[in-house]
Amino acid sequence: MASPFDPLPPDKFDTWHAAHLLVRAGFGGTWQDAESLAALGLDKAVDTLVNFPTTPTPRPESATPSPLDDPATREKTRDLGELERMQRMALYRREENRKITDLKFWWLNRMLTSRFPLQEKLTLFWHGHFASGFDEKIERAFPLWQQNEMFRQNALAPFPDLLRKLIRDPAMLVWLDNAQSHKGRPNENFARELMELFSTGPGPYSEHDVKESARALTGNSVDRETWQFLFNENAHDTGEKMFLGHKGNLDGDAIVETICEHDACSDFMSRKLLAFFVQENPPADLVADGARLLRLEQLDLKAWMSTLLRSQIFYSDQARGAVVKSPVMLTIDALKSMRVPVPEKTVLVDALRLMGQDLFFPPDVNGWPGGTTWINSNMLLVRYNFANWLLNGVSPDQFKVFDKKATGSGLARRDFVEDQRVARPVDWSPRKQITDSGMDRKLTTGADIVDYFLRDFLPRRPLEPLRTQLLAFAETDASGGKRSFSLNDANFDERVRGLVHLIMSSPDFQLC
Amino acid sequence: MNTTYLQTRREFLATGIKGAALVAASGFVPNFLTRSAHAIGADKDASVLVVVQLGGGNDGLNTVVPILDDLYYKARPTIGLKPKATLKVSDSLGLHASLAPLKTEFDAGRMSIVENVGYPNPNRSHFRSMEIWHTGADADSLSASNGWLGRYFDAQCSGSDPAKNIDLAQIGVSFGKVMPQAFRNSSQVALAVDNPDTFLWNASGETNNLAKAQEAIFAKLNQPGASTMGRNIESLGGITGNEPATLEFLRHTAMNAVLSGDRIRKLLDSSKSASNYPQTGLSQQLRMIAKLIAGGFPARVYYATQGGFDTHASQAGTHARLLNEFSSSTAAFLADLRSAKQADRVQLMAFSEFGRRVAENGSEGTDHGAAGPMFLIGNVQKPGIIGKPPDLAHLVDGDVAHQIDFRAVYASVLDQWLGVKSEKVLGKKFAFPA
Repeated sequence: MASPFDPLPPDKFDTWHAAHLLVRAGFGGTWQDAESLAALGLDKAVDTLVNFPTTPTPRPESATPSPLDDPATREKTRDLGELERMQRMALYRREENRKITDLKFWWLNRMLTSRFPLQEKLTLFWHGHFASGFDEKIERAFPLWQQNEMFRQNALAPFPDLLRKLIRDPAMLVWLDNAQSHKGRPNENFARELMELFSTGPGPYSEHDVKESARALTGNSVDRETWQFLFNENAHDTGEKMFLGHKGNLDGDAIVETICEHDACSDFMSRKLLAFFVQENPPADLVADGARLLRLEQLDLKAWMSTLLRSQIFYSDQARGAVVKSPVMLTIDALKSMRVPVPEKTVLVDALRLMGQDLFFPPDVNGWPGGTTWINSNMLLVRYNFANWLLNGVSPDQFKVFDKKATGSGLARRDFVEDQRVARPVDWSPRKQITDSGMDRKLTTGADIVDYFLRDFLPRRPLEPLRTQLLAFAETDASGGKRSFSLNDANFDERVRGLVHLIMSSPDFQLC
Repeated sequence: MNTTYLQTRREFLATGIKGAALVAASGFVPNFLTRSAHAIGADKDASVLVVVQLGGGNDGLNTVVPILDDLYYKARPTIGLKPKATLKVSDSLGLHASLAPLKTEFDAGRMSIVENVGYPNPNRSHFRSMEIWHTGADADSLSASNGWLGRYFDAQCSGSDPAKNIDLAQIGVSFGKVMPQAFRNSSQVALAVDNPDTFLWNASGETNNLAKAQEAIFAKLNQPGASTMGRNIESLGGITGNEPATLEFLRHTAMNAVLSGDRIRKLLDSSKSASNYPQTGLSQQLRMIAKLIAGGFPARVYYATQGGFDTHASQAGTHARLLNEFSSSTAAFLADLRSAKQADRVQLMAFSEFGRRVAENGSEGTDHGAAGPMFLIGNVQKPGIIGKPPDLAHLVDGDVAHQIDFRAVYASVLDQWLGVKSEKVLGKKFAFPA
């Protein structure tokens, strides 16, 4: 019987398909990137995406423990006066704020430049799926970087392995209160989310199962000086537990094993992965097919993803344009199309927050709900105006450069960070890009130029009304009349930025 | 980048074409759409509901205090409020002193306090419980993803096309970056507004003429019904097909946003507030809401939020400050409406996702609880106290049990205030217990 997961006939894999693969299994790219991928053929193209290294990536500068947790520092500050000690502590906290901002830029850079875009895309998926945030309980950059790196190295690990890492992840254990969970008074927060949000979804378990798994997870704790996993034997409940029909002196690993054997786990993960990679609200029969495949592969995510990225469903009509780009996807996609680096020390991270996706600050443990919830009147206008900032440095008021003089010396915590950011646009010369890629002799008409940029920015499909309208704009002269448009145009770069602003202000660009 | 030029462009945009003109410039817009975009003052008589969300779980017992109940004082030896410290609203209940501005409204018959509001099988997770309140779903079957107000919008939009009737598209306005789930609807209507000053699309053409050309194209691209499919010049490797439904949702949202932004800014710029609002986040939202109501903006429902009620530790000072923000902002809002002669058509409903644990915890705070009080303020049907004081002798898992289902309160607002059959919105009848 035919399955939606049957492979696409290899000869159908052309540049349009490759562009679709790039934007879904990565963060998009230029038409040239898609051509290179298409030249590999379907099998090799997918192989280059799924075969990423699982070794540690170089540690970014800001991924260092905080002096706040260093006993020697604490010892030293003890001798200071009360006021001075408070000031010192406030300084260390501000430093953590600066570091987490640095890490946002570091990660955005990886998404943009990594040779393994699927690995970064999955890291983003896991960050939303197993959400932990900087605020309130953690307030340190180091544990969130550790977690991020764990997601990266295990991005396509067998799901049980990933869960076993998760129940030992310091940031997660602190964020969901398991670090303080103790036999006799277990904290159910993490145990509940482990099933409800992370593996099975609500349904297969009872309140009693939540309580029993919380008992099993007692002892999974964190050394708060080093932010490393610590199994606290004294806190662990060694009594008999009954969880989803399994009885015994269960520990965290036993809970993970039982969860992963349950069909609800493969069903739930099939739905989550399909919603992220194929289409929002995947139909029930597709989810069931995906779950069956997941069980067949014994929850081996690499095997499953390799099949998905070759499948007919992945390239089908129903999958095309069926995903709303998240703000991070939108940003990286645009930067890739412009072939420019991440604009460091700019308002980019503020813009991402306004668009609703602040990395390392998920709204809650449920992560970003995604899909059409990315869009409302406010956030859509911010997206459109974000394009104008990126291209032209014309910023809505929200992106104004922080004015140090205006607020005097009493810098608030957030201001300290924003102080360093500016609203300058990215450094992008469309003309230079064309010349550098040797395309200048091929783009002889205005239509050629419009097509060239449309394919870079919106390669999903040719958009006839959009193309004609963009051409009309390109051919408008300064007084509003018509003229021809070419590479020799004096204001070529500005005009192309206006074109791309329109592309990015179209409903079509919000989807992939 | 030439900064002088940018300055000029910005000046031009500040006074130049916006929303309605921008849409008109596209030449694709049905006449009635542009007409209604100018027709401010659509319906100055319709009733208006303003929802205020007190996020984080407001401590109901320290908001409306059971001053005769020993069990209350036993459970809260350090944070319990003595009778004398409260403002008596009945023999057995006293309001937190920070609610003084609202006590005036209560005494004047412009406020209902609904006691012990909640739902069966209370959920103590912030976001689950919030989801339950927003959707109006049963706690154990969270299947609805549209909100209860969203379903009200859908009921109002049934039989007409919101894409052709901008008033309907603007039936709900929420302030903040995110649209509350309560507003989620199938008719693709209602607005989220964060900063009205930036609620517009900024063109970037090099000259005014180019900016106009760009704005016209922008409007065409975002015009509801302007399908981009069907006229493909090339096919995608044999793939042809239907346009994703999301595209039309995006067009509706964009067009609604630019047209509304125009209208909202005009109203906000047009007058000064009559009332002295305190400098709080909630005040800012309520001040804008009062201006929109007075200016005849067609929304029937507004949504404002105040957060921070999750008082797990050292709550006394924090809670007093939060309640003060809520009550002083609300009182200023009502005064503003009165001087604009709009107070009679406005009812404000304040809710929180849950109350808090009866017993205080070890850090002079309270943990997540269950039922709590709701407030209806303004032109209310049944002023006074609705329901009995909390029964602290019969707790459920240490929490106040609910006596009134929150959907019974929704139902009365829908039936009696918004004038729509509540069972159409809530799926069934909910009534106050006799």
